[in-house]
Amino acid sequence: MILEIKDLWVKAEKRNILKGISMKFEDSKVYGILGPNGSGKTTLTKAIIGIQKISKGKIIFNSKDITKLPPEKRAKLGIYLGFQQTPELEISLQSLLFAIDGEKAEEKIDKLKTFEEELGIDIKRNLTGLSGGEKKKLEIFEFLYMQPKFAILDEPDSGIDIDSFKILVKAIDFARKEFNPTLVIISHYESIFNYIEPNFVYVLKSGVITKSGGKEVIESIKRHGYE
Amino acid sequence: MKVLKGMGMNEEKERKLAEKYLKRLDFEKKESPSGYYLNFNSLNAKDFLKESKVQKMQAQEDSLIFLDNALSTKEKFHKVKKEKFGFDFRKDKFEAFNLAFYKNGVSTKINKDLKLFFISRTSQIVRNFFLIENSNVKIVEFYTGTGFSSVSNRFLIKNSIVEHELISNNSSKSFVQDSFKLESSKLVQRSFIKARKEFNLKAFSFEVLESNVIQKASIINSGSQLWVSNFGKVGEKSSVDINLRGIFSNSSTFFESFLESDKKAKGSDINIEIKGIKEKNAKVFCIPSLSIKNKNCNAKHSFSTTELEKEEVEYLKAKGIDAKAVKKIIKENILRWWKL
Repeated sequence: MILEIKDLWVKAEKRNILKGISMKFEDSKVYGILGPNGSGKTTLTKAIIGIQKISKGKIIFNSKDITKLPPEKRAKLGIYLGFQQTPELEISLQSLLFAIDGEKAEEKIDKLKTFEEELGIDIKRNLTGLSGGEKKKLEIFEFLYMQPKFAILDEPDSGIDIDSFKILVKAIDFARKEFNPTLVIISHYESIFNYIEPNFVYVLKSGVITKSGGKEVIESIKRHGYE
Repeated sequence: MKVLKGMGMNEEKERKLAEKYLKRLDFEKKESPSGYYLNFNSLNAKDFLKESKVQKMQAQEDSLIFLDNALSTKEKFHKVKKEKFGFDFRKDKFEAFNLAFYKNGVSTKINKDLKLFFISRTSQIVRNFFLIENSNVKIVEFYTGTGFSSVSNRFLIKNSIVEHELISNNSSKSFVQDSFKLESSKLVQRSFIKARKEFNLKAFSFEVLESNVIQKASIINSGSQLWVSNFGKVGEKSSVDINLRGIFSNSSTFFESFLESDKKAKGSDINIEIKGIKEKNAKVFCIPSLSIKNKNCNAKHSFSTTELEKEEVEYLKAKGIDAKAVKKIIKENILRWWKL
């Protein structure tokens, strides 16, 4: 097992957002986390990467308790979060990657030139004034660059067109062949899982896991919604 | 995050409050040596020319007026010009001044596309007066005064596009005042202000009709008393967008913006946004004041100081960048911001 969440509670503004969640993620598997708006999905992703304060619970990564580890150290261990919404930053993705890896970044970027071209992105452009779709494409590129062991992609299909969606699927296939991470895909639509088949699915509603299981869970959501 | 909202429309009350805060910030109120400080009603060509006894100068295409003692050789000047501002001596039409030599100021009429460049390292009072009509003009001012550099520029702009770049890097007292009167024009003003000690004052005033003003400034105050003022009258079919970013440490900074739209200013847009990073013993006070007299005018303002933007810090940390590097990246962004 690569990551385990034990009895996780998150409180914000006197309200419990996550209420005692426990989850297990195995090496190199694909997981889907589905849930309606406001169910706590993004809060969960932020808690895993370490930018959301938790009130109770534990997060274990590769048998190590990382609950109190700061986000930058979690990232260095190989945990990656593709944000649902990235902030406006007067810095380019290229500069960001150089800040992380120094000179080595150049070579790693060169290896991903094909994806840069296919995505139609300019990694030298500042992360400001970008559309939702453009930000998502840059996140796809960044995910491939980082080669994480455990990647959370928060609504990676949100705001991108059909052609970019195909490239997203291609990028995930490429990642699985190249560095084979554990993938956690968050969405409130089940359609993405027609293209990226999950090994296991969790359904989150009002801060608790209401369902979990294999592909049949998705079929159930298709038919009955989140009820 | 500390947020101070505007305090209504009673200017007198706000001024009194400002005075009170200025005292608390240990500001010593000083008058401008030019005598024009915060008086944008004096933006009148006839009065100004009469009063200041300025010399007249006609900007000539393809000519170079080279009058700077700080850059005494042509090579040195060319190097600064190219490296700092990207001017190409062979291709660009431009004029270069050091108007600090003209104690009573210079009036320059520009009615053709031109680039102007002037640099000052002296301790003189400068008064420039620009009449820009039917032109596309770029003006670069560069002040690195070690003594008291005092500048007072007047711009009357009609049917023109003006790009105004102001770099003020003063190790001592400084005073900069620009007053613009625009008609059917566009002004983009970018500033970089670095204040290190003593008293610094930057005052910008506008009078805008059927025109657009965009102002962007990056400010570092690391030990001075800095006073930044924006005074503006926004007429119809106009927009004014003021955006300031600052880093404040061991210093006192006072921002005041008094923007006013009159009854006829239907469809005008006004925005004032000030964001800062406040560190070690810094005091920052802000009055973003809007006086809107037309219901169909869009106006907003915001002011915030924080140690660092929480969202940006979290994002960068989640990407594996440590706290020290995050701070450096965000600060560098603020410093580069004015040019973008």
